[in-house]
Amino acid sequence: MYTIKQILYRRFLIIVILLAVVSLVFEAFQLNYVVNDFVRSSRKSNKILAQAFEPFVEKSTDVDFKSIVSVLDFENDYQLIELTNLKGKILAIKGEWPSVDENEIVKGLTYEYFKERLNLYFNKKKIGEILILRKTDKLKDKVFNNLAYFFFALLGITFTLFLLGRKLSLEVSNSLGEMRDRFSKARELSFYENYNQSDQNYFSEEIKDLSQSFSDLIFDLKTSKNSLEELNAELEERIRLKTQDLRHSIADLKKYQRKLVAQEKLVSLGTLSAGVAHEIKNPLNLIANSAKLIENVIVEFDKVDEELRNSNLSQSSLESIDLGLSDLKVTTRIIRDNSERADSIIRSMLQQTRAKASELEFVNYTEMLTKISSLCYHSARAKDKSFDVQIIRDIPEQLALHCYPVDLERALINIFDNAFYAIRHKKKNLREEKYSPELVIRAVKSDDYFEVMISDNGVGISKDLRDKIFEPFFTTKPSTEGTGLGMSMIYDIAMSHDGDLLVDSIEGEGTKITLKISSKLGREN
Amino acid sequence: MKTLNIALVDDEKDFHEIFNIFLRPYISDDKVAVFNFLSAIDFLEYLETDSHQVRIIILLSDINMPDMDGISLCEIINEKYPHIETYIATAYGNDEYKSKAKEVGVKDFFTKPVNFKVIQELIEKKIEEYNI
Repeated sequence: MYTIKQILYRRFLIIVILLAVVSLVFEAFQLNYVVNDFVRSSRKSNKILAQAFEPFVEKSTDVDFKSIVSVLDFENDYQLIELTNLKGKILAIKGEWPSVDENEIVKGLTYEYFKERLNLYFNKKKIGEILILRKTDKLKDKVFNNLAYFFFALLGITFTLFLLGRKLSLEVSNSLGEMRDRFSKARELSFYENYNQSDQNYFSEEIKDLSQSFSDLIFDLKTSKNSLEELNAELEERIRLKTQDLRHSIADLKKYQRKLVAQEKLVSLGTLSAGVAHEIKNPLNLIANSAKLIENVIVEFDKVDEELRNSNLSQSSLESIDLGLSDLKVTTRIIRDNSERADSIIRSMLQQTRAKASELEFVNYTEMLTKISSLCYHSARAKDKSFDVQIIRDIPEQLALHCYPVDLERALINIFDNAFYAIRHKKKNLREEKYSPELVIRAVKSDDYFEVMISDNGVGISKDLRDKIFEPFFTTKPSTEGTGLGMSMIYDIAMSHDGDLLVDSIEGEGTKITLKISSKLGREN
Repeated sequence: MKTLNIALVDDEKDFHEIFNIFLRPYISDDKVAVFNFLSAIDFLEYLETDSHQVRIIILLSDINMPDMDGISLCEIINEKYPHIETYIATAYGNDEYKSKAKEVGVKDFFTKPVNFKVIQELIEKKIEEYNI
């Protein structure tokens, strides 16, 4: 790629060379003409001179010769005039041979001289000859002048062309460069907005047009780009809204599914466990009662123990009876304890479920939260006299909602029991260390939910266990203290209230349970 | 005189008691010794500190326990103490647990309530196997 300057210089060079060649040819013709003209005019004047000398040769008067010769310019034009008669005798001579070889001059026109030999006649009879040798100074002057004119003219034309080309090149390349700079800026800035017609005065008409076209084009491009961007943004916005809608729909679907499953679970597990419970309760009852009877028998045996020792039985027999009795005591205790445990598991399964669907009721939530929390606190105190917790209640007065009260109360009881358990556990772990147990109950009503946040500063839940706590029968409590059904039940109850259950916990620092109940319950239909 | 050392890992104290009563004839003959642990961690700690004194031959573990479950325990035991034969006794007799147990190299899987007869047969077989 060449710049305009380079292209113009190339063109300029070609033009100058062409011009030089053409004028050289023309000059050659002209020089030829000049020489021919010189020869012709010289011949003409020589002929006239010869005729003038004819009478002199006839009469041989020296005066005539001299008078004629004196008129002639021997300084610049003539070199030698020689008249000879027929016998070759020189009659008169003016000038002298130049120091040049005569043979060369014989040829006629040379660089320095033009030589001509003419016959002289009198009454049409040849009477002698005349030799005229003329200097070519005039011709040389002419040729020299001609060449000088030619050279200067060529130089002048070349220079003019050069200047013109330079001017043109500057004008075109400068304005193109200017345009290029402007439009390259225009890509970044909103050039067309600042585009000023008066700025264009510098440009030529064509460049002005071009520049105008360019700025129009850029304006169009910018406009198109803007409208494209607008369309794009609009499209993105629409997609975003659609995606949001879809997400909401999916979330709703999942929520309803969860709710359905939770309700289904509550009812079907209720039906099932009610049936199973009664079937199992009977054999359990028999086992427990039989164990009780065996225990009674052992007590009786203990009473006769003293008599046995006094009898004649051997020491080893006595020992084996003692051992047997103690084994019996242990095993019957195990039977009793575990049948009671099985019974309590069945009871809590029955608690977790309900055989019939309960009815929505409008209740005072403030009252319910206060009542249940203090109930659980006192039940914990009943188990452990040293147990003490500062309960902070941040509940709006007269908070009322639609709910399934029995279910909700059961969920709250479980949450508070867990919190108090975590606090008791931490106190036990810390032993002597200073620890002030605290339970914060905060209730808030938002647009969609009644939220109650119950935070304890107990042992907390480790990360590994956080996913498992909703699994039925999962528990970290010893088998005598929990069945592992609580959290899954709370979750199911939250779901059946169109709500949610969130667990935030830091191991060793405490747990926050957020129970959400939909505020739209009772408003459907 | 050789003894079949059995480690019992279960978080229910009653299970330990009943198991000891059941094995009393073998224990009084010094054929069997039972080592009781209420958690997997306790057992692992015991192995770390006292393994050179008593060579445990059989481990019978529950699955569902606080701190560490029985399958993880068996996995560790089979890696670190390959001479110990691992058995599982659990109330959760589902196939998932069974295949998991098999994966980690558990020898047999008993479903609770454990039939003492089966355990007895196992112990008799082991006593014979180890020439006790």
